Amino acid sequence: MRILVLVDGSKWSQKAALHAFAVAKGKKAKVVLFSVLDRREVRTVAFHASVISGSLDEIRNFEETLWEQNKRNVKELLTTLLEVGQREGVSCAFKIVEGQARDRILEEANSGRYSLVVMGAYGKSGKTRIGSLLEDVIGGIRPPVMVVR
Amino acid sequence: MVNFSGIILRKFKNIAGSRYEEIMKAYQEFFLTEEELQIPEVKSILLVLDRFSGEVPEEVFEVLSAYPGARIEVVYVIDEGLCSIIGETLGEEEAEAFRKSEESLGRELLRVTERSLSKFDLSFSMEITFADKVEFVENDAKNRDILVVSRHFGSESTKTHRISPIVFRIVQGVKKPVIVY
Repeated sequence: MRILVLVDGSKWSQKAALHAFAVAKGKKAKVVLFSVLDRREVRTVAFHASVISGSLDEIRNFEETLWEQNKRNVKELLTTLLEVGQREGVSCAFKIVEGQARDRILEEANSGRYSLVVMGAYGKSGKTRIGSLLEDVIGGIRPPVMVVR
Repeated sequence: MVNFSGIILRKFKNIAGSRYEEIMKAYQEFFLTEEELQIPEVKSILLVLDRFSGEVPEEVFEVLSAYPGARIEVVYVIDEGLCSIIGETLGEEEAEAFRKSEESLGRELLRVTERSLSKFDLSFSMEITFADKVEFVENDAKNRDILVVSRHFGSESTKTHRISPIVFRIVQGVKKPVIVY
């Protein structure tokens, strides 16, 4: 049995990982922590940052710096969660891909390798955003989906 | 951008100093606290069914069997409001016929579910109830650790809405983890 956990960095996706570990412990299953890096999100932040700082000519540098920092942060978070899982005796791995979250998630979750997908109910913007991605994921994924809050 | 509550929490603790508690309270929905960083214990599970749910796939029982000692309450819910509407519009006889047909469908689905639960050696109890579906699930789930529901619970899914609106409302409203199959 393999369990896919969608980790977007939010508090709820980290709680999702804990629930995945609980199932994995009982079933001796493997947990895959999965994150998608979306360049467009970084580009948006870089644009706003350069407007605020009044240095539009620096936008490329902002974007690259943010992108690299984002990658490091994702890796650090997944490593932390992986260590929590391993401390509980759960076999874990992580996978980071680039692209649009919805498409990459559906592609991975429907690959036929997973018996359960676990995700947080809310996204990175806190409790204000619940909706389209959640509906797309629940509606578009073949295995059962556990939604955690 | 990714918001890494765990990382921020660790780094922030040193920087924020005495303001740490205050900031943690104000921004609690972004931070996973140390108390929350626990592997959850699951003792009670609610599995709701109705005429639209269909049979529960084996992979769901496989997941539920990961919780040793948990008790699963399986409830087939018949729409109370719909029974009333049929009674008011078509008469009591029609309403009674609808109730009987629903109960028969419920008993059959529970029988099939029971076979799978027994196969996985899961502890369970079963019942058929008349209620408002969303209200019932939202209230009952308060006393459970996990809720399990079909994507089609409450209504047929369509090409544009692959999850029933009732399930979407449940996922949004219920404070417990929900397994949607």
